[in-house]
Formats: sequence, C-alpha cells, structure tokens
Amino acid sequence: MKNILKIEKLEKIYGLRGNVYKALDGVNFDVYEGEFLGIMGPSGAGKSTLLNIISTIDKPTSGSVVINGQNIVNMKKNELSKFRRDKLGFVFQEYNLLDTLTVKENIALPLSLANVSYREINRRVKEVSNNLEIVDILDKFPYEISGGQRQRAAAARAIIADPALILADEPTGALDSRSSETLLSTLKNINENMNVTVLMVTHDPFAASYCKRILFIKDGRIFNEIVKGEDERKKFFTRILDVLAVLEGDIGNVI
Amino acid sequence: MLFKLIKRNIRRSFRDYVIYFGTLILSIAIFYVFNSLDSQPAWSGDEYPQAKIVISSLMGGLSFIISFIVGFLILYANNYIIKRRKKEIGLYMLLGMSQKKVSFMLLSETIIIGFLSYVVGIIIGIFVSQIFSLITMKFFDIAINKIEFVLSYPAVIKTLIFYGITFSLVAVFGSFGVSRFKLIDLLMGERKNEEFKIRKKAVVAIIFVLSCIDLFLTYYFADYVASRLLVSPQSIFAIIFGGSLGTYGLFYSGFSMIFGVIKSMIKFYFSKINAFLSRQLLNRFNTDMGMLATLTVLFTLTLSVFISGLGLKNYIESSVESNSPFSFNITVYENAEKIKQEFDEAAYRLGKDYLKDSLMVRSFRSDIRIKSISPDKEYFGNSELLRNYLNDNFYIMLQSDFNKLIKAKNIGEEELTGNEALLYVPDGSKDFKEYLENELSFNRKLFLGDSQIEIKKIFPQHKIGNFMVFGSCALIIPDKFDYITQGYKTIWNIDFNFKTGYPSEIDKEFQKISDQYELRMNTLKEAKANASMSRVLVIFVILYLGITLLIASAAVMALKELTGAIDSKKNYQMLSKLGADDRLIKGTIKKHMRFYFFIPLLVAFFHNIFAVNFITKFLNAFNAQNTFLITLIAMGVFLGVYLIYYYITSRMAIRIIVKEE
Ligand SMILES: Nc1ncnc2c1ncn2[C@@H]1O[C@H](COP(=O)(O)OP(=O)(O)O)[C@@H](O)[C@H]1O
Ligand SMILES: [Mg+2]
Repeated sequence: MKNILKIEKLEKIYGLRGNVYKALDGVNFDVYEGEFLGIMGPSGAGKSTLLNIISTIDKPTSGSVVINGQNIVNMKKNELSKFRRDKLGFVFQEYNLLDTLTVKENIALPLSLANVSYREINRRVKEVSNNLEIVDILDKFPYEISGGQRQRAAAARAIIADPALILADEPTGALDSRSSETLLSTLKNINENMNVTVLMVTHDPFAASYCKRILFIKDGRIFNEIVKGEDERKKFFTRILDVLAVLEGDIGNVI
Repeated sequence: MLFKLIKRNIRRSFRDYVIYFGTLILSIAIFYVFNSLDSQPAWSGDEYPQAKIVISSLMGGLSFIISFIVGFLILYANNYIIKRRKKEIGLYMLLGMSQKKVSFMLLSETIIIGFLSYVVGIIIGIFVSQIFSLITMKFFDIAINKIEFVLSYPAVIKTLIFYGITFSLVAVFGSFGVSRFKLIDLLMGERKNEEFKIRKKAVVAIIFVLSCIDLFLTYYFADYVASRLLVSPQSIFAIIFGGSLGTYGLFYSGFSMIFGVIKSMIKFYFSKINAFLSRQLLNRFNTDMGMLATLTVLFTLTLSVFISGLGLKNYIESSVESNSPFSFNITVYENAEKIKQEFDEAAYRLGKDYLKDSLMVRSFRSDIRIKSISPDKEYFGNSELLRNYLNDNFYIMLQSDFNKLIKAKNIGEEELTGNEALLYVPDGSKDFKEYLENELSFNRKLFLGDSQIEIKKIFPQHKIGNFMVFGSCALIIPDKFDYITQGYKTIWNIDFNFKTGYPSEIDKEFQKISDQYELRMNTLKEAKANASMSRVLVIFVILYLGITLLIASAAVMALKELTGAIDSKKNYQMLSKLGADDRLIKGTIKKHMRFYFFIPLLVAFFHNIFAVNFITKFLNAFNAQNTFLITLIAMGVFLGVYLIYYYITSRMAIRIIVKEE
C-alpha cells in the first residue's frame, strides 16, 4: 500500500535556554493510503503540536516528515503554502466556512486558489456535493443552513482538491452530540467511499471509535497503538476506554 | 499592580492606535493654533483694531462645532478600542477583577491618554503657531523686526476645557459600556457565521436607476442655477439635498450592481481569491454604506468649501486696488467747495511733498431708467439681479469730469464728438453687461429729455476702478449737454492721492475734518486692511474646519477598516490554512483597503467636477476667479492627507491580520 505520511524521530522543543520543554520526544509512525488514523492522549501530550507540524504551519526541532514522498521540513514558506493548497485538506473545529461566501464558493475556494479552470471547478463541485448530498444548498449562505450541512460543506471543501491527506484537530470539540455524529459519519463516508486518507486528533473516545487505527501519545511519545480490525464500533469503543484506563492509572486523569 | 497594568496598556496602546492618537494630537494642535490666532503679534499694532475680537469670537464659535466633530471621533475610536480589547478585558474579569476595577482601569487609561495627547498636541500647536504667525505677518506686510515667541495662555486653557469636557463625556460613556459587557460575549468575541442582509435584485436595480437620475438632475439643476445666477440658500440646499440623496442611493445599490457584473464574469470570479475579495467588499460596503455615503458627502462639501474659499480670497485680493485708486475718496452732497478747501489746506500743510493729485468732480443721479435703452421691450428673464439693474436710474457725468478721473488713473482721455456718449457699466454682473451689449447692437440712441445722444461704446468698470461715484450704470456725456443735469441731485466727489509712506498725521487730520461734516470718506489704507482681514479670515475658517473635518473623516474611515480587519482576521487565517500564501493575503488586504478607502473619495471627486463648475460660474459672476490651480491644490492636499491615513491603516491592518498570532 502507498505510504502517505512517514514521520521519523520527530522532536519539538519549546522555549529557549533554561525553560525548555520537550513537546514531542522522538515520534515515529507511518500512515498509508485509505487509512483513518486517530491520535489520542491527555491534554498537553503534544497532539496539537504534532498536527500543526504535519499541517506545515509549525516546524519541528528535528526529525523528518514526509508527505506523499515530499519532505516538508526543509520547504520554504511559499512552497509550504502551495503544498498545503495541493496536498492537504483541513477540517477545523470552528469557522468551518467563510460566512460571506456561498456554500459553492466556499467549496470551490481551494481550487480557485490553485487557479484551476472554472469548468474543472464546476465539475468537481458537482461531484463532491453529490457525494455529500449538499447539491440543494450550494447557493445558500452558511447562516442559512443547518449545522450538519455546514459540516458536510466543510468536508466537501477539504476533499475537493483531491488532497493526499485530510487533517482534523478536535473536529467535534465544539459540537453537540448530534452534529458530532454527522461530522464523524461524513469523515467515515469520505474515507470509505472515496478512499481519502484521514488523520484526526481527538480526546473524545466516541469520536475516536470511528477511526480504523489509533495512536496514543503521552508526554510527547507514542505510548500505545490499537487497530479496529474486524471489530464492531461498540467493541472498539470499549477497547479504547480500556487503554485510556491504563493511561488514567498512570497519570490519574483522563482528558 | 493595577497601576502597572494601566502603564503597560498605555504603552502598548500607543503603538496599537497610532491612527487614533495621531488624529487626536493633530486635532488638539489645530484647535490650539486657531484659538491662539487672536494673540498673534500681527494684530498687536493699532492698524487692525477689530482683528482680535473678530478672530477670537469667530474661532470660538467654530470651536463648538469642532468639538462636536472631535467628540464623535473619540467616541467612535473608543468603541474600536474596546472591540480590539474585548478578549483582554474578558480575561481580567475571568481572573476575578471586578467590573468596577475594570471600569476604573479603562477610565484611567482614557484620562491619561487624553492628557498625554493634550500635552503633545499643545507642544506641537505652539510650534506650528510660530510658523503660522510668521506667515500671517508676511501676509500683512508687517515688518518682522524680531522673532516674537507667541504663547497664548487663554488658548492653552480653552483647549484644556474643550477637550476636557469632550473627553469626560466620552469616558463616562466608555465606562458605562463596560458594565454592559457580559463575560461570555467578551471571551467569545469572535462571531460565528454572522447573518447579513442580501438585497433584492429588483430593488437594487430600481434604486440604482433612480439615484443615477437624481444625480443627473441635480448636476443639471446646479448648472442651471449657477449659469442663471439663481443662487440662493434654498437652491444650494436643494442641490445638497439632491446630491446627498443620490449618493446614498448610489452607495445602497452601486456595489450590488458592480458585484452582479463581477459575479457574472464567472471565470474571473472563480479564479484565485476574487470571489472572496468581492464578497468581502460587498459585505463591508453594504453594512457601512450609511457611513461611507455620509463621508462622501462631507468630502464633497469640504472640497467645495476649500475651492470656493480660495477663489473668494483671490477675488478680495484683486478687487482692492482697482476699487480704491485714491488714498482718500470723499463723497459729499452739500457745501462741497467749503469742505474741499478745508481738506486742501490740511493736505498742503502736512503733506505737500507727498501729494500726487487732488481733484473734485460732479456726478448726477438722473430719473431715466436704464431699461429705457430698449424702450419697447420688457425683460422677461428670470434673473432677479438683472431685473433690479434694469429698474435702476442712470447716473450722469460730464466728459471733462470723467477725463479728470481717468487721467488720474493714467488712462488716456476719451474724445466724444457730436452727440456721442459713453456707457459706464459696473462690474457686478457679467450677464448684465452681456445683456446691454446685445441691446446696443439693436439700438444705440437714447433720449435725455429732448436731446438725443448716441452711445459710442461701453466703458467697463474694471478699466478704471470704482470711484465710489456711481451706484449703477452711468452715461458720460459731452459738456455741451450740461443743461440736462439741471434739477438732478448732485454728488460731489473729492479725491486725494498721496505717494506711499505719507505721514500718518494726514490720516488723523482728514478724519477730524470728516467727523465735522456729513460726508463719506473711504481710505485706501482701510480698504486694504479690510480686504487683508477678510482674506485671512476666509482662509482661517476654511483651514480650521476643513482640516479638522478631513482628518476626522479619514480617521473614522481608518478605524472602520481596522475594526473590519479584526473581524475578518479569522477568515484570512483560514485562507492561509487553505494554502493562500502571505503575498496573496497581503495583496488582498491591500486591495480591499484601496477600494474601501478610495471609492468614497472617487465619488466625491466626481461630484466635485460638477461642484467646481458651479462654483466657477458663481464666482465668475462676481468677477472672482476659480482657477484650475486652486482646484488642483485643494484636491492635492486632500489626497495627500488621505493617502497618509490610507498607508498607515493598510500597514496596521496587515499587522493585525498577518503578523499577530
Ligand atoms: N507555543 C508554545 N510554547 C511553549 N510551549 C508550548 C507551546 N505550544 C504548546 N506548548 C506546550 O507543549 C505541550 C504540548 O501542547 P499541545 O500539543 O497543545 O498538547 P495537546 O494538544 O495534546 O493538548 C504542552 O505542555 C504545552 O504547554
Ligand atoms: Mg490540543
């Protein structure tokens, strides 16, 4: 299977002299095409730091990050913008959509930025919105549609440019349980039916149970890994809770 | 602890709110400069006795208006600052600071900032007023013997009081504001998928067409009014009203129209960041349209006032010399010989060596209407001014007297043969002269009683200046028609012309004589002083109001844009995550800024093309001039100040959006 993300000996040290803090301490892992990888861990474990580095909006202290065969660590700022535009998709916790743009304009944005022709934009928007069942709301503004529709529109935007990898940092953090569920099934849907690779950071076991594989990190190191395999989602959920219980035993607190 | 916080906040604020402090300091400096004008050394002599009082009361009155403008600006800026600091204030409250303490902190900050601005403003003001004073003295041809340091304590105090009150009011409003804050709103300062009004296409189109028609009619009406000299407070009000209405309509509908066009260029619209930029602009224009339209109207008015004021200044300048060719000009109705003798004696006694000419001439007020030039025609035009002229009576002067006058002005004598006469026309109205010229092309003959004369040519006033002889048209007739003047009221005109620098005792002595009789005496010195005074007053008023208005409006514009930058920061951050590089983002911010800043100015300049036409025609009618240069200078100054604000705002917005985490 094709390797999408390869992380080796990743370190991130915050602070200068005296007050140094190792947020990431030698992280290694791989993500392959079609995976739905979850990253869990207590607060302060280094999850966001890791995701920001993969998102190219932060730089590691040492180590390498190879996405789709390209090492992003030594890229220049402008190259990174272009790389983000062409290779990565994002699902944010909030501000999913620009409120001044219609749904269609929002979804088209990554392609517009990449200077794709209007014909191609139109074709892709149609295709993606068909898949996510948002054709009817394309000309509406974000405030005119429901929370679930907004999430789907945001997911559509994340995948429209055919990214190698979709990144989501605590995407359900600010949502009520119903909206969380819609978003998660949307992610699951695009992962399974459109073969999109997804990497999601979360501390919510319910959200994590949608993943196919989960890495647990603590104090900047990988601590454990579990794979869903042939399990039902409910069964996987209990297994996650078990691992978290061990973590809890360790630090006395699960976030 | 609290004090430290306040200190830190203020230090940071100064960097953050350059626009606000800059404008505040500038406006305080301007306030001081204009309120200290009355204590300039230029008026300390006895040449301009009225100057101090006139200037101080004029500037005092204006200052009331100015403090309203400034008060509005401060209130507005305060809202912006609170908005910018919502999160910070929320954090203080979250950490347990009581609302009272927060209010106290904000109040102290406002007061300290106000006081610092005051001190800096006054210092700059004092410095600028020195330069101002030198310029004024040069203007009045007052010898600058020693550089005098001008410091006006009353102005310092006055500035303190005006700004103190304005600031206190704003501070009270501001701290009331804090108690309204809810912690949740403060912390969750950013909005989520805000609603905004979308305008119905049909309504937009109708309003757009209506406002275009309205503007067209207004421009047309203005031209009509100016060309026909129907200028009156009512007509000016109608023009301003029509123009404002059209401007509001234009700002309501114009951007939606333009947006519609851009959106229909679908390939362009969906390429790069264009959809985002045009939506962003449309949204901002639609929510801010009231303010933008108001500023546009203000810009137009300020520019118009600038231009007409400068034109008027030119008029005053050019009219003095030609109006008063003699050092003394005395008009008497009785006892002329005796009075002339007294003046003569005084002139010889005190200034024999200086006396260039003296003369005495007569003129008569006839009972012949001016409109009798075209006896079988009534004037049906709609110029009130022209009708008044035509209903007035002719003055009459004999050729020999007239030649004395023009000889003193170094113009060759006029020869009249047979029954030829000259028609003297005052400069008041260009239209009137044109009307008469036209009438003369049909008929040059005129009956004065039983005698017929023939008008040889028109003799315009500006060729010889105003001798204070004639209130309206005059006929210059050959001496042999002397008998015609029998029974008409005689007006004697006594003139003395001295070389420049004649002894001032003459002034005093002449004044003494004139006080004993019923006569009217005009002196060149007085006329010059009055003209300089009005010239300077016009300039002062325009500069004071114009500059304050300009910087206040530019500052409001800037603050609005910066508030917008705070609001749209999240949007830009998202664009960056989606892969828009820094250059594209900065470019977009700059473009946004350019459109937002310069569209109102552009519309104002467009209005001003017509306003300038109006002003030019209006001023021309009074022989004042609006030169292209004046218009250019006014627009240049405007643009210059505006560009500075634009530049700073643009940099600040980029900092807020791109540089700050
Ligand atoms: N910019 C920063 N400067 C210094 N320390 C940081 C910074 N960002 C994160 N950290 C620290 O690094 C650790 C990991 O943070 P983060 O990756 O945000 O954790 P998580 O997302 O797992 O909760 C935390 O202890 C945090 O305090
Ligand atoms: Mg985190």
